Amino acid sequence: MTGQLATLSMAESDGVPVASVTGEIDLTNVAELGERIARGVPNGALGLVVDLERTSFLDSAGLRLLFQLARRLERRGQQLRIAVPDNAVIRKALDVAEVPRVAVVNGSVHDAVADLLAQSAGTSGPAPPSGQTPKPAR
Amino acid sequence: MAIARLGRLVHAARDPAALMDEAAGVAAEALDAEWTGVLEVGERGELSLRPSSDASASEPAAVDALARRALGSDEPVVVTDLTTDDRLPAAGSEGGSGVATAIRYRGRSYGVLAAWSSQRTMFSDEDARLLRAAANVLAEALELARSEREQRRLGTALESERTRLRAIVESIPAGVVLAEAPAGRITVANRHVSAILRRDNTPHTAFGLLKPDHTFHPDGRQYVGEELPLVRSIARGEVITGEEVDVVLGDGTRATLSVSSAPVRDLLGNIVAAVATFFDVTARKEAQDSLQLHRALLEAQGEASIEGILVVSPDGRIVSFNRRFVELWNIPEDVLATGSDEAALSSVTEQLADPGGFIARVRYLYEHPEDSASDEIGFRDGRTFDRYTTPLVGEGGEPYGRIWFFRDITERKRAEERQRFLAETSAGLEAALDLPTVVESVCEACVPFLADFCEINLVQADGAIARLGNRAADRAGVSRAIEREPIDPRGEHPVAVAVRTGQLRSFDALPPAGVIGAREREAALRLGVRGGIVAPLRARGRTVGALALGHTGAVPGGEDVELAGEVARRAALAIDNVLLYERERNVAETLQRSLLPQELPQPPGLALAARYLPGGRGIEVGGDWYDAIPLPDGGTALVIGDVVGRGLRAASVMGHLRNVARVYALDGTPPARAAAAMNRLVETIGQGEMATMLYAVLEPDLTTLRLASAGHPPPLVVHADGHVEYLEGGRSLPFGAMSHIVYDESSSKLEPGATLLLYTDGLIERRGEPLEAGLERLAGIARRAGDEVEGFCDHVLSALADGHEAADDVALLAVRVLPPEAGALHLRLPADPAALAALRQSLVHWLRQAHASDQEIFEIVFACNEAAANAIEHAYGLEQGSFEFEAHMEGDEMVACVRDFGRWRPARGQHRGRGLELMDRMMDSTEVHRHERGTEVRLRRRLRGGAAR
Repeated sequence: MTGQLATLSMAESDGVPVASVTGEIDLTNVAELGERIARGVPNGALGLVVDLERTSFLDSAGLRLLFQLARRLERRGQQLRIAVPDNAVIRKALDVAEVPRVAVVNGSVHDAVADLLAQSAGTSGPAPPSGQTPKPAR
Repeated sequence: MAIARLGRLVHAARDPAALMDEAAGVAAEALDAEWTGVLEVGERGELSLRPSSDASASEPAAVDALARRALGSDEPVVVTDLTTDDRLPAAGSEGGSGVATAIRYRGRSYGVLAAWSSQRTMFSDEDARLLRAAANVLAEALELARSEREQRRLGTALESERTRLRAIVESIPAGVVLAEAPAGRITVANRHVSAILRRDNTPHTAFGLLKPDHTFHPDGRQYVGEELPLVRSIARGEVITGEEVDVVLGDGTRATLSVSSAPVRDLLGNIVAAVATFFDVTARKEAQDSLQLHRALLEAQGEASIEGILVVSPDGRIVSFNRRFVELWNIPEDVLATGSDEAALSSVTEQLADPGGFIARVRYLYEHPEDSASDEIGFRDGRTFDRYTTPLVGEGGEPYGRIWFFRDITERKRAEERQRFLAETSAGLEAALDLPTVVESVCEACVPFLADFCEINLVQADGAIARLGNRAADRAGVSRAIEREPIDPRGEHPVAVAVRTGQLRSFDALPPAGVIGAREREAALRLGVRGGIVAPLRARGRTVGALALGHTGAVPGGEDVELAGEVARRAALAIDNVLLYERERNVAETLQRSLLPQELPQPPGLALAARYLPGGRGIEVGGDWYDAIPLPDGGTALVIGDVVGRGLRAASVMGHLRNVARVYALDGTPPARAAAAMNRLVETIGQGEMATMLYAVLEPDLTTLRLASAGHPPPLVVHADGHVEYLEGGRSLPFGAMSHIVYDESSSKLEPGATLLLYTDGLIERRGEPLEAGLERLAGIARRAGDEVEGFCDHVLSALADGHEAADDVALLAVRVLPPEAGALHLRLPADPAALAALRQSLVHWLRQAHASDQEIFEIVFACNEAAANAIEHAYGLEQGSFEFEAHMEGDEMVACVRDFGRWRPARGQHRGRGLELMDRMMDSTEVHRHERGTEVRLRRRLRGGAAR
């Protein structure tokens, strides 16, 4: 059932690993997804782009995975970027969970990779949040 | 030995006198007595010695007292010394000893068998036993002889109609014989026969009547046998009128007879006899005026007759009549004095029920002087006369008058009617299997034959008296019910009294107001009821009610009372039978129901309904069953089956199968495997049982239906778009057909709005019709059966029944997949994270139907998913845990509810807590209710549809 819920594809764009999740992330597949994504980030990489453009659903466990990845990468001096269009329905969940506090959210993989490369060229510290402020709770 | 001989003798002899003599002889031989004899019991109980054939033997003086003693005793009496025994007060001077025993059969004493000897102490107990054995054999033989005599007497009574015929025959002033076909045996001959023939005895056969060698044609030629008139009538059906025959009479003189003869045929036209009449025409010259002769004849024997006799001359003059005729017709003396039949007729027509018909009939007969006729005459007062008339034929064969016989057969007619009435009532009651039919039958039988008003009252279980249907016929004969008050069982109402006392009572007046209700009394008065009969309805030793009859005319007589009692007895039995039948049927149905689900589950998203109709009118339970079982994974198992046969055996097998199916269902066994296992179970029950079953599982998605069928009729699906489909797949042999059967599983799809119908073959089968016709009919009916599942069942049943009474039991189970737009979304899901995806899928589908925007859908699904994950965690560790999800719209507000049945645990760790917080922030409101049985989370969110996008 795990395989059916979501598929994960790992790619590289300008040396930046990109993990694309198509489908749904919930309790049942989050652990496996997290494991495979983490394994796909080389130590020398600048960071990781998690592509949620084709992710139709993610639950709190999925959000938790993003926090865990951010923390893990941060410890290794790497950055997590999340690519999700502004109008995606799941965007609301990221904002409510205050994901932008730990990872920059870009509108697309292209933007995310470019932003990451530009950031690392400028400063070596962690990038500030990309101007996104959490929405107040409804 | 002697007794055995006596036994053989009594089998040969039937004459009581000979038997007794034989017994006395045997006793004498066996006992070595000087005297043995039988004393007979007379009509008044007196004992008298049978006159002995041996004149020399005289009765010993003491025998009488000895016999009297024996008659009063069950045991043989042995007296060793007749002079001194103080048991014999009347003992004579004569000495010696004696033994005596009563000849008795089942309490009926025929006499005493006694033996005497001049010596003392001659008889031992052994002798007494021997004597008693002889007496017993004798008693049995006498009883046999007596019962035979009794039967002969009854036989004689049955001959009464023949006697009547003879009376008529005797009245005819000619020789009359009736000879039976084919042998010509003479069974009836009047006294004129031997007088005319001048013989001492009546001849026995047609040949003996006129012997061929003594019978000559007028030309002197001798008759041959086949030419004899009676023989010709019997053999060839010839009708002979006034054939002149010269005969040699019994005293050797010669005479000329005028002989007429005609065959008697039965309804089929077969000749069963012939009648011949003849009279001596030799003496015609010397004869007096014939009418005078016959008048004397009639007067001689007519007065004693039970029949009224009237002789009328061709010119309408009354020639002769007897006293009984006057009594029967009540004709005034002065009318009789006129001697005019016309006057007599007009004086009686007033009394008749149909005067016109009567007069017409008389006229006809006077116009046809040769005709004989027999018919019945009805009177206004209810009497009925039997009338027989025949012409009196004079010299030369011309009729010279007519004789009429009248007999009052009112009693016989009434007895016949009563018999018929009772027979019809019984026949009506026998067929009745329900109270209304019994009541209707009794009322219909009683009104107006026995009464003008009829009512049946029944004692209820609580002692109250129910007044069931009543019927009254007013004077115009119109039936209608009357109004009446309830009866106080403790009151003085005749019905209450009859129920309490069990006594039948008749009334010659209406009971006063107060005893019966005012309205009842008024209604009875309006009807003209003047009296009546109240008969208790008693059956099998208890009073079930009372039959009340009202009479408007004459106060009920003894016969009516007797008849009412008879009707009440039959009605009571019928009512008791009905009550018994209903009780037994109730027991059977209760048993059946106890084996069927008390109530059907109503899984979220489905509507279920079931029906069970016991077939036919039998009281045996059938082996049909159905079941619906909610499964732990949120699916629903649907089972229907039919054990071949009826009765407790079938019901018990059915009980087994039902339970086993439940176990497999809850265990999640796939349908095909469950079916195979159940077939093996049926094999092990091992009495050649056969059963069909359909086992289907509807998956939690409410779409996928998996099924296996053990020879069961295919389930029917009425799809949302109205087209119908039989699911023929997955069908294999019935249980019990073979020991190992491989069952296949087939899968079908249901969609929201579809209705699945499982049924047993009783629903579609009709005698003498191929099964396909039944399937086709069901499909046609189901297509139009509507959306609401209860109504669907009712419609299918009533439309299929269509006046046909189902011979077999019918079970049906209908399942409708509720369309989301029909309202709420109900899901029952297993407490397994894997169920979350299904929940989200159903919810997305439902929210789309509710026109939620994609964003709204995500947020609601997110929140509900969190609540459900929490519920799964609550149920964690519980066996077969599950949770329920429900969502519905309240206006534009979506309300979702997640219910679990586990213990509430505080959120574990930060993340779970965070999940709940996120859930809360997605919704307009979140409420958590904790109950003893679990937790309920209620989420609300107003939908703005596309506006929120």
